[in-house]
Amino acid sequence: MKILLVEDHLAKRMAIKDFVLKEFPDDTLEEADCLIHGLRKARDLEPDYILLDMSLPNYPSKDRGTRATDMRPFAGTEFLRRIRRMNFDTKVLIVSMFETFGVAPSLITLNGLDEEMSERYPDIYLSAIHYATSNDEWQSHIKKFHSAIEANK
Amino acid sequence: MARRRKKSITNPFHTAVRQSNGSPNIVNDIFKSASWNQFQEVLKWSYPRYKNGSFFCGFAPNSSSQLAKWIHFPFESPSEALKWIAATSNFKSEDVAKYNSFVLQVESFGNNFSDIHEAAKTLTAETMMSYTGLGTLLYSLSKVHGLDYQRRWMNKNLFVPNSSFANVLFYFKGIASESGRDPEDILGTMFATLFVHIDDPEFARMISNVVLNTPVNLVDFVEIAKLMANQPIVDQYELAANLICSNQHSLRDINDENLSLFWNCMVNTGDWRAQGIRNIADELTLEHVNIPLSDHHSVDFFNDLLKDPTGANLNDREFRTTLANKFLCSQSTPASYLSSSCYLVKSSNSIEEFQQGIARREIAQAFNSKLSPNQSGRRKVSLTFDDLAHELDAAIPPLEKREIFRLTCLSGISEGRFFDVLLCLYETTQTDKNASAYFPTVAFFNQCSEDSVIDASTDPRVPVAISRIKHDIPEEGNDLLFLSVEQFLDRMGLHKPSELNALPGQVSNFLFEACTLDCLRQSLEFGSKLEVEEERLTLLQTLAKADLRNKENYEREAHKIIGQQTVDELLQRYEVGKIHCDEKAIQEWAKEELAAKFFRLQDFIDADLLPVERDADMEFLSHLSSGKDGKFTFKVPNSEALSIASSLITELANKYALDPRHGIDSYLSLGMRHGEVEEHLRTPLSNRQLLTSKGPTGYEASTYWCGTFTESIGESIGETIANFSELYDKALKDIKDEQIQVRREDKPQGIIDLEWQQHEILSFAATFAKTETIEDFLEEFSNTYWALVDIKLAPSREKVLREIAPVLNALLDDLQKEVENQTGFSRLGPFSDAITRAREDLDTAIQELASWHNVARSTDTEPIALLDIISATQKIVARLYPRFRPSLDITGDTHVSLTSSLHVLIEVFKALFINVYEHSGEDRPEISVDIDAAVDGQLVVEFSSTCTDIEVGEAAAELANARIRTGEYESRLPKEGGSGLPKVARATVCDGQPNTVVSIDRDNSLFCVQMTFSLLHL
Repeated sequence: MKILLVEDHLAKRMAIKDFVLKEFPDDTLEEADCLIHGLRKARDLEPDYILLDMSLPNYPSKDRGTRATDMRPFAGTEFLRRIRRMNFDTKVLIVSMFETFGVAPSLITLNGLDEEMSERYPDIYLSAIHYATSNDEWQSHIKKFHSAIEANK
Repeated sequence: MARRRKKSITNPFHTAVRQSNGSPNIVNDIFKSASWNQFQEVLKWSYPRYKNGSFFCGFAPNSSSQLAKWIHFPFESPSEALKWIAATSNFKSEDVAKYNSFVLQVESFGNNFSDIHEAAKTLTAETMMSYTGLGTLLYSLSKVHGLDYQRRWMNKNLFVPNSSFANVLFYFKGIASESGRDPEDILGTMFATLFVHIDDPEFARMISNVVLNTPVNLVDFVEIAKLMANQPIVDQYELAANLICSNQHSLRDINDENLSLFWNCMVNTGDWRAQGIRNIADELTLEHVNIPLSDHHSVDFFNDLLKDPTGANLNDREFRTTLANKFLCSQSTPASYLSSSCYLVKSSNSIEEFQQGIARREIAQAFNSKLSPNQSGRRKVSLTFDDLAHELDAAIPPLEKREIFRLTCLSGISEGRFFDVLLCLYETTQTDKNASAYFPTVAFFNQCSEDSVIDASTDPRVPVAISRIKHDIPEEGNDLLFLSVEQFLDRMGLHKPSELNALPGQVSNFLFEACTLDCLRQSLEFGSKLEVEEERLTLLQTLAKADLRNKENYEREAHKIIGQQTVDELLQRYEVGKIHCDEKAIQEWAKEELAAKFFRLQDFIDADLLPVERDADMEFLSHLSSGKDGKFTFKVPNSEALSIASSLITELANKYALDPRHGIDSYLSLGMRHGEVEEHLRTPLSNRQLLTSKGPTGYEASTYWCGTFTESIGESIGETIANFSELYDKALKDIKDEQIQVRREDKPQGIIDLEWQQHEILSFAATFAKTETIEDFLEEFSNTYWALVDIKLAPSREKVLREIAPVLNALLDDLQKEVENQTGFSRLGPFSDAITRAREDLDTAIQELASWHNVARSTDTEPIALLDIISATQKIVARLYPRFRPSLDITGDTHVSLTSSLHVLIEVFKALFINVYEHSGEDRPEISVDIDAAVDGQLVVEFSSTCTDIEVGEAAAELANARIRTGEYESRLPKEGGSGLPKVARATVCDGQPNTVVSIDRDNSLFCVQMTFSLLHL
């Protein structure tokens, strides 16, 4: 299968990439580190599924973080909105390091976003999973979704 | 012989009332079973006997303490509620007649608020206290005696020291009566402070109706009537009159006995609205509208009231408050009906709401003119998109045109003609930009899906139309705008807008208004911000050539983009801190959301009610509940000005700190917590092979050290490192999740404490007396805020060093000890060295982490070398004028750096360079800049350039000096772009005098400008 990984955080991207390539050696994996490049690659490659971060910069930044005005906290939802209009057969799995977004009382949980996206993009959206270096649950989630997508191919 | 007492015939209704002591349940039973006449009789008998009882006491109260406790009276239909109100109004018909007479009296007084106030006092004294009359009383009171007096009067005469819900109504009536209030803001305050705590929606509806006299439909009417059944009869009467007037289009065909009873009551008590309705002569229908919407009298009225109905001199808020001033003073006069109709029409989101608003106008017009719509020469036009669009073309008065525009759009929406509606938006806003405020954006997007808009975007006018309302579009207007732009380009077979031929007209509008920077940054055709900006610059250059009429607009934006690019580049080199936020977005939010409070506070200040003069304590006067005592306490502030000032400051400070998208904490999340901190503090150890990552079976034991030591020692170290890695990652997670946070209730360990203390709030509150506009206030706030943040960040940096560093170092200590224990060696060569080196790297990383806790605003806070400012400015000018390549020589105090006035100096040098470009006649002139910073706080700069024609140069210098001397330069500031010397002169003003001298050096053929800047932060 063709997989696209859209993730700006280098260590997380490497960890996911290593895991995917090790676990599914027959797959091909492409990477993008920002929203626009991710959308470009999705359009050009039409991957079977996409592993997507929720918060992304619009464009890649050499020194990300020192001036993060380009960051888009809800880039993931925008990505889904755009990908839906590209009209190709794909599935999207959000892999986020965060379980909450924003601050109370406007706090949105990953679960809340998950529900919203399931409702808005039922054809392409799979789920939102939490990524942490301190546990490996995300790995079993990716495996599970990978199998499900493969089974439906 | 004793006379035998004559036995009276017992009235069973009287008996029932007597036995129940006038209880609402019994009154209701009687109301439902008795005839109209019988019930009238019961009221007449019961009221004198039980007017101090809990139910009847509120019918005609003399003071606020006599208002009845709120109950739900179980009306089963609007008709039944109308019967009740007809009965109570008929019972107190004399009082209602006096009220109706008072309404016309108020109309005749115009803006004579003293007379209005006297009339309102008399009305209350002679009839009853009512919320309706109270509105006029409080409004005129504040106009005649000022806000302070009004507040004191309310505290003394109105607020009751018990749990009456009336206090809440008094409080909001007070706000609505302050003058200059926008009902939208009042509703916003109600929602934020009250409605969120109330479970019963009918209570909320009743409050907004009593305070703002919002139109009611049959459903709302019966729900509100249930709550008003034992409230002042005048208020009950007004509620029913509101129903009749708001629904004239639909009620005319209803044959209901109780409707007739109330109608008769309106007629018999001399209500002008009954006369107006009679004059309309059944000419209002649900299917038509009378065009023009306003007759001559109304057009004159709106012209007088709004001065300039084109909106050129009124922003949206001023427009709304001007109208509201009329109808919040007295809600039922013909003038208030006209002004509220204008307000309601503008905010209507359905044809029904539009008709409710227009019905008030029709009634007032028919009353004023004594003519029916037809008699006054107005035509019936079908409520269809096509018919209305036709009328829209013919409409002339701007307000009339905008109102028909809204109705046309609402009709188009109801007919599903979304494409036509968007074209209508485009065409109307082509000739009247401000008409976009009349587009029913909410109604449109409730009905039309995003996909439908995008599918309709095959015409360039659609994305332009979207761009004109994008700020009002729910969620992200720019996202939709981009998708619309993309769709149009796709249809044209193009990838980039610059591939379009920029013909003046629709295509130019598309390129300029729709293909903005914000829009293009979402395009997949551009891989960086710079590419997007270059595309926009290309568009602007093309447009400037193709559309000469608007050349100035295109060039202005191009200058802005190039200038900002260079400034950004310059600032980027100086930034070290990570504490920043999207201040522009927050200030935009504040201008919209805090304006109401700000204006209200300004009114208090104008009335000499300074926020810091009063005791800041709050007094809790009342509380409310709809039968749910103690659930929520509403606080009526004692010192209103301080309360508003504190709330403004706190809200804005919280927004800066905690706004989920634009605030400091959000940027902390994106700039530090988003992997940055963990990565930053992990790297020093992982680089030394002291950390491993978690795998499927937990933290993997490192095998690295097996190659350095014997297998058993290596394995032992590897296992210890695995355990250590888990502990270290946990510590990092805790630092990230709990400590690198803006401190707040749910993050008590946050090391960034940005909360304003009371003394800081009080200190800043004094500034309000000095700021006249909200922009001034925001600028002052920004300066104070960042100065305070700078101070407040010092402890944060300290905490990184004193609290975070020891935790991580202690873990390293433990690792070292554990390895010693496991291996039996106190020192293990390479491993111990690795720990030592890791400590050094970690120390550096922690120092860096501390330094991230500095303000990194995109303004002038870091010291910047003057040389860099000059060089950046030269770059800006070189990009604006590619042929211009001056040779620059800078001498004197070239080491000078500044921490303020960056933007001012950039503007000054830009003006000087452009001046040389435009007047030297050379592409490569020689320019010398001499800097003198010998005097404290003063910067003297001499800017000299080649002058080829000494005579012309001298004349120019003489003219410039004369203008600077006489102050004429001030008047040229807004227009002058060419020479820019006025701009330079303005920047050197000290003690009211500009310190700029222009001269010619004949010996060296130089044009010289000497400037002395008074700068505090050299």
